[in-house]
Amino acid sequence: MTLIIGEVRKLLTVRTALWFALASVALAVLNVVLVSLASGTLDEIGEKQEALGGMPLLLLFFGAVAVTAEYRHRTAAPAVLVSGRDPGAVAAARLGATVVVGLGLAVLTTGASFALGVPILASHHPGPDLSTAQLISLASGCVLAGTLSVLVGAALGGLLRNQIAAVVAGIVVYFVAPSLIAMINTSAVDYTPFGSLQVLTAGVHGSTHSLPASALALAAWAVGLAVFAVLAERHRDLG
Amino acid sequence: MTAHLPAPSAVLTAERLTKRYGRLTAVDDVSFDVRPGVVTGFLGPNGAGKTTMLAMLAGLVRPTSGRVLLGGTPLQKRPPEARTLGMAIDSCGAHPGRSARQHLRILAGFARLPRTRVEEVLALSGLAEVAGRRVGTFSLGMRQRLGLAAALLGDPEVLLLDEPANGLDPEGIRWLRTLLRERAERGRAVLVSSHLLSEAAHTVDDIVVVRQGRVVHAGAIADLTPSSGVWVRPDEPGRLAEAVVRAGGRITPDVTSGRYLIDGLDGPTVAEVARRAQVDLYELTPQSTSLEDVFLELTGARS
Repeated sequence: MTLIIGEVRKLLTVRTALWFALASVALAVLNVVLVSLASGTLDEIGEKQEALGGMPLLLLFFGAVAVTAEYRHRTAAPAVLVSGRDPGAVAAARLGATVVVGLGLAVLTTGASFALGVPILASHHPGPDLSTAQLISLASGCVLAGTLSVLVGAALGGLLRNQIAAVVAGIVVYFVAPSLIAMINTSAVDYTPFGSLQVLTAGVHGSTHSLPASALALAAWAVGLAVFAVLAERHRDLG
Repeated sequence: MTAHLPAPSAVLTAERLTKRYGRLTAVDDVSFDVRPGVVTGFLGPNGAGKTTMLAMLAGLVRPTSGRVLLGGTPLQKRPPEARTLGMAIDSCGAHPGRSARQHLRILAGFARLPRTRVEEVLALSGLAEVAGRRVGTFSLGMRQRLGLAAALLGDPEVLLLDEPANGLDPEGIRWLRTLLRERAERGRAVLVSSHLLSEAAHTVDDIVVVRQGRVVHAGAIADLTPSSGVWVRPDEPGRLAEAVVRAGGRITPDVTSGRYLIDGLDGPTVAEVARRAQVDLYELTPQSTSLEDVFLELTGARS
């Protein structure tokens, strides 16, 4: 716990999280305003849900940038040196701390999107309003998608240790890999991070996957990458 | 190569350490001890493998072979922490967007040290007045002080410093020397790397000189005595050479200057040997060598 608290302090004493919070909120607000107002009347539940959801790309980048900054500024080694713990444990704490801060960013982003979007969408008639259960389900999906995206980005950052490489890898994992997989097996796309995100953020309609199944698939990707990153850190030099 | 037996009093021991990066051997079968109460200089030219060596001693870099003993225990069994080992690396290892105080408080948190210790090391390193400033605005000298402050947080048994004098002004260098001497007097061990012997000579008791990843000299700095020699320009070099060898000296020609360097005999003896051999000397000059010359010769900077 000491390590996670220390890593959270690290994240909160630089401006990276603040800038990403501002940018992420701005993008979410822009998305909901553009989709709700510029798309005409949204009179179906699916359309309204899509307007409120959004691809948490910035949160993926936040995870990558936050973790790679440790290597870019060579601040990873001092924590290992003073704590007396192995680099893998410190890396795991760093990923955990990034998820904690990422959860805050995801809640903030989703909160801003819903606070602005729900009243706008309520004025779109005819068509049913989103029920409280639907709103809670979508909000949970968005927060979960955002938080797990932070972990995916952080794990890629830990694995690659290079900011640009990690961001590019994030884009490849989310957007390029599904297209390649689709060429082999279309249904397999649903199990990719992108496919799972689409379900969680209501970016796709009529998916055969349930919200819990998609959450599980994305969590498996994120945790798998994180475990890989921690194991890699244990076997690499820090100097 | 014989096995290195750590000295009984050694607090930190490098035992046959080797580090290879692909085909490049950065550190090659290096063994030495760091003793408590002593400042040990780790000297060598740039690229000699000093930083890699220090990182291995701190457990940040895994040796390809060999091991490090901290207090007689392998590093794998006793990972260093703030109270056992402090290391100043990469200038300071702090994020440029964080203040010096924030950086030290975070590290103190990792080490479960009280916040009061942060203020102590800030005062000790002369950074108390700028502790609230972002590290990104610090000069190189201030970052060096911050790195030292971080290394001193746990008042460690062993202090490893990588080129700590870089960027320090004369007052800062004096402060650093005093700090290192005080730590040694308190029974702590200090290993300080440098590429300048002249800088380290004022502070260190023991030295380890490395060249291309290998130790070329290890021992007390007092043992690193400058060699003596005499330059001569004789009219009969052959006859003088025979006489010098008979007298127990050694003579080496210097093709470029046309002079000869005689080792093992002092100036008056060389003059006497030449007189007896009926050789006229047009020049007799004692060779001027300093500690720095010896160091340059050891590290291969002077061929």
